[in-house]
Amino acid sequence: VTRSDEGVDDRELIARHNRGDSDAFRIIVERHRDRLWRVALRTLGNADDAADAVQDALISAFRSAGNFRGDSAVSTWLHRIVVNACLDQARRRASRPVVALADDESRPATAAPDTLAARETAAEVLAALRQLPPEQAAAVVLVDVEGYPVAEVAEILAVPTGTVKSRCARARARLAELLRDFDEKGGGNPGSTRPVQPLNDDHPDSGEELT
Amino acid sequence: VTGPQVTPGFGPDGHAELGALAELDESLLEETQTRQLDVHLQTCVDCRDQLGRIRATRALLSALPAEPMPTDVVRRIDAALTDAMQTATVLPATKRRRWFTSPAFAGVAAAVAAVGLASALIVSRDNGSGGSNAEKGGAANTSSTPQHAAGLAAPQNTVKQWQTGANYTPSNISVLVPGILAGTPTPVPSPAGEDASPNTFSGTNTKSAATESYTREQLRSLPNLIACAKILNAGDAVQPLAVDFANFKGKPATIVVIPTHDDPAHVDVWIIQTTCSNDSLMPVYRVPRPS
Repeated sequence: VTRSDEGVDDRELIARHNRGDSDAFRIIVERHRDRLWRVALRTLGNADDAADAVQDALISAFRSAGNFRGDSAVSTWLHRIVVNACLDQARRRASRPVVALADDESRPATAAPDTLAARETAAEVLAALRQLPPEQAAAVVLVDVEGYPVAEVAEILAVPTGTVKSRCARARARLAELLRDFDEKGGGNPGSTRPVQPLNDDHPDSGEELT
Repeated sequence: VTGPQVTPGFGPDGHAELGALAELDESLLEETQTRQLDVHLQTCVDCRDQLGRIRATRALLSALPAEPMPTDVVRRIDAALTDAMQTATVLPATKRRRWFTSPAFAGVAAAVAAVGLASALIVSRDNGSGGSNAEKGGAANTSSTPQHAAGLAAPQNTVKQWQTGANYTPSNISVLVPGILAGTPTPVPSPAGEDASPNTFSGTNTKSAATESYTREQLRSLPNLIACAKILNAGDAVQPLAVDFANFKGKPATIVVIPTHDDPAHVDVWIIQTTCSNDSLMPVYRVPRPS
């Protein structure tokens, strides 16, 4: 990757890739890989699964870049492919006869939180995210963790904005419930310990009809 | 017998449901339900705590450390991309050999090279009079037909001519090309009415050398094919390795395989969709040469 490419627009890089410039796609990957990685890791809650999903997604993007129409930003397009790969990965994981324990704690983060307490909190949050339905996890990761605008997340997930909000609301309620136990063990999230009504995960996602 | 009346958004204990509070926080609720919850929150400390818990959850999520992709994953993905690129590399324009920069360009008449190379021994598939290409796709013809007796420094290589009907794509080129080079192409169903492959190359150049443009159908003539290969090789005469009258991305195309210049480990796969000429933009892929 040459530094002279730093100012080149993502769409121009896709165009160069489609014209046969073998460096262009690598520049795009270098630009976006950290964010894509975080989305995958937090949606799937497992580093090995996240690595598989991101790799599958980027190879798919590499091969299908000729179909990129420019209707959305390259970043949005890449996120959509990664999220879809994560959802596929989550479905495969769900179909496995034996669910392996996630090993996030075993893989040292490159930029670890400063304190043990912060590290424990992050691990608990990741563990809680792992228990969400993948569609909810993807929505809440994109909105609350990565801070993307709801409209952009709707584009990434190919759903109405109301559905994004609804999935986020359900995810937050479920996470608040899951993290309550962590609080009671001495975690850092303040709040009462009044038992809460369990959320019914079975009823249909009413937000699907929202726009 | 009916149970106690429960207001939507509230549990049997009279407290707001966590899900309803989360939806309230996201402004997803109807006006009536919003008002009921707002009124309840003014007097219920527990439910205010629950709402605070949801907001604290958002804060926890946004405070997750922004770690970069681990270096082992970076390397792994880089290697996978390298593999994907090597599988079928689209040669950028800057790396294609240019006609006018080739030392062979000056003073070498295309026709001379064409005649010289036309003496190559041609192995051509015999489709026979019956049966589809698919049925015979895996069976190489064992007969070799010398096309020209006058051997002017005739290379000992052969040009394999196929009409597999295969649909080449960037992702399957590296799979299909070894098949046509080895004489064992991947069998594919032959499209109806698309069975008119000539069994052998015709022996005359149907274009004048000065024209330097050949339609993909004109490449059924060996001299035309060799003249085309010379164009593809930046003006240096070269023996094509194989030709397949097939499809590329679903559209008819003639696939011409020539050796990669100065790289015996690879071959260049040119896709002739309209014409083989010096000024048309033809996709070319570089794939490993099968051993």
